[in-house]
Amino acid sequence: MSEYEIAGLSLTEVATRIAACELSSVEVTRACLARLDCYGHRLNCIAGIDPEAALAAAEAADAELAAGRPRGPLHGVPLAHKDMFYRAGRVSACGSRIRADFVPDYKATVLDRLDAAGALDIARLNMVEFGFGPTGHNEITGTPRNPWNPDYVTGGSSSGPAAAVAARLVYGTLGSDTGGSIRQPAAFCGLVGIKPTYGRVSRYGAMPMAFTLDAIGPLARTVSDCALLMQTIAGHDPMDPTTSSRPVPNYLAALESGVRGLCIAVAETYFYDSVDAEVSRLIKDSLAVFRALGAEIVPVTIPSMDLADSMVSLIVMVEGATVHSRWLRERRQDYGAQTLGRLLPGLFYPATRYVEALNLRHKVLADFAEAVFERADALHIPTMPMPVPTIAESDVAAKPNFMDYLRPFGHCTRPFSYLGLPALSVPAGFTANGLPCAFQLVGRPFDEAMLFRAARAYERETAWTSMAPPLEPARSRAARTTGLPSP
Amino acid sequence: MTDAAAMGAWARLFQALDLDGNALAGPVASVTRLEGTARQAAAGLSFDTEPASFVRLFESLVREEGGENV
Repeated sequence: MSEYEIAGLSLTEVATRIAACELSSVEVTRACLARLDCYGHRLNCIAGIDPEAALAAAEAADAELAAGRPRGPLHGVPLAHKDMFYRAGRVSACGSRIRADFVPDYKATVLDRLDAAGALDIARLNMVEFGFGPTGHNEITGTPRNPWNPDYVTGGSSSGPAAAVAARLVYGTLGSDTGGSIRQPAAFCGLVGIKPTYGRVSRYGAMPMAFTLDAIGPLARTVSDCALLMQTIAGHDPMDPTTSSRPVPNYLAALESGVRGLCIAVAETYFYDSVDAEVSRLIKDSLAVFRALGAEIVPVTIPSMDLADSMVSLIVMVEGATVHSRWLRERRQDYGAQTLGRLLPGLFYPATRYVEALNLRHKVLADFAEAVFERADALHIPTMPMPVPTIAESDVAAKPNFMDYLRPFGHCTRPFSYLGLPALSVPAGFTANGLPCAFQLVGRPFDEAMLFRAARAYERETAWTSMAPPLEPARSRAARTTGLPSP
Repeated sequence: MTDAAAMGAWARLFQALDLDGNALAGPVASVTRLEGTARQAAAGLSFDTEPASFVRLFESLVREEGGENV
């Protein structure tokens, strides 16, 4: 196989071929390193890379396999992650100047689990400074570019991870999501990304942003790839007492079960309040696919979503300012202007308001459950209310009222961070600017399996997740449907 | 005393932070907008059962194997 063909395989396909010795981990890793070298810097998605160490790890993986000792379902597969997951002895800069030289002395549980499954971790990927921003802009490390069109943003804050996986530089990645930071870049870059249920995935060894909201999850090219990564990282961790001891179901087992008999709710208010007409049409088209597949569609009116949206903003600012309080006193000049502008308000909220914001969750969840879960298995809504903007038009930095511009980006994602519910973003086509668009499926706590199953049924009927960005020169739009070009 | 000046004095006293008027404009606008929303929404809350009631509700919504939740 050519390097292009290898890079075009899905994570699931490449893992299967390595396990069957049809491809070596070295061949696959060389293909990824070549593409990282060619496109990684152009897309500004790399925070750090050690090609020699990556190849050495691939050689070791091949040797283990040859000796009949496969580690697990991701044996020899090159991945790379958002630069906020700690690995002992390696820098984890979090897209910042403040942590540019930070070298942790322990390893994140999620990296430990991926290592145990045999995955290779071949690069650190650029991100929004400390995760504070939905567009992907970074004043400190530079702004990653969208592989579908480098003039456009990737979304944030898992900006580099989304760019790298969409551009076929690695096969999958881990991001973090506090108000939409997995789902937004997944939507803008044409990937499948999940914010798991609060407590489903350990956060031990990941830089915190807002500890009552933070979730870690995968971004991948296909539903199966995303489910496989979730299967690997999910589950109780004694090092993170907020993780649930509930057993992790087999996400892959029911993937092909279809949606006949499932009931999907469609929101009549809030989530469509300010949605662009073109986005709205694509989201409604995706709903028609579910209907044609045998799902029952029921309209619902969900109260309190505005309140959930506002309370997430308040909680993120207060908890974020708490995490950063020492640096805000001692190294304020080292923050980017927008990050600073988002953190400082958190120092001023009365403690009583913060407690109220947390305690309002019971009422909002009760309202949501009555509106949605009494009638349906899942809620179907847009991920982003607008088409992907250009880097230039969304570069608001810390201009006056910058938060007014940024607020709509998280309009459809923040409420589920507040409620702790699982939410999966699924590619749903392209807007007229040639950039991806996506819908979200939101489920009951710990019902990720149902979300994957529904998304897979949709994926089977559409071609969106098989399409690759036209990175190479002189590629026609039509070529996207055939995946990567021949060399 | 303006809102910004009051918040600047508060930041010095309680956060050991010196912020000028420009740095305070954003926080003033943000805090003014959201704190009122939380205060009004929480007016009717009972606080003697939180946060246990959220966790209990959250757990009650989990779909049990082969069972109905609602």
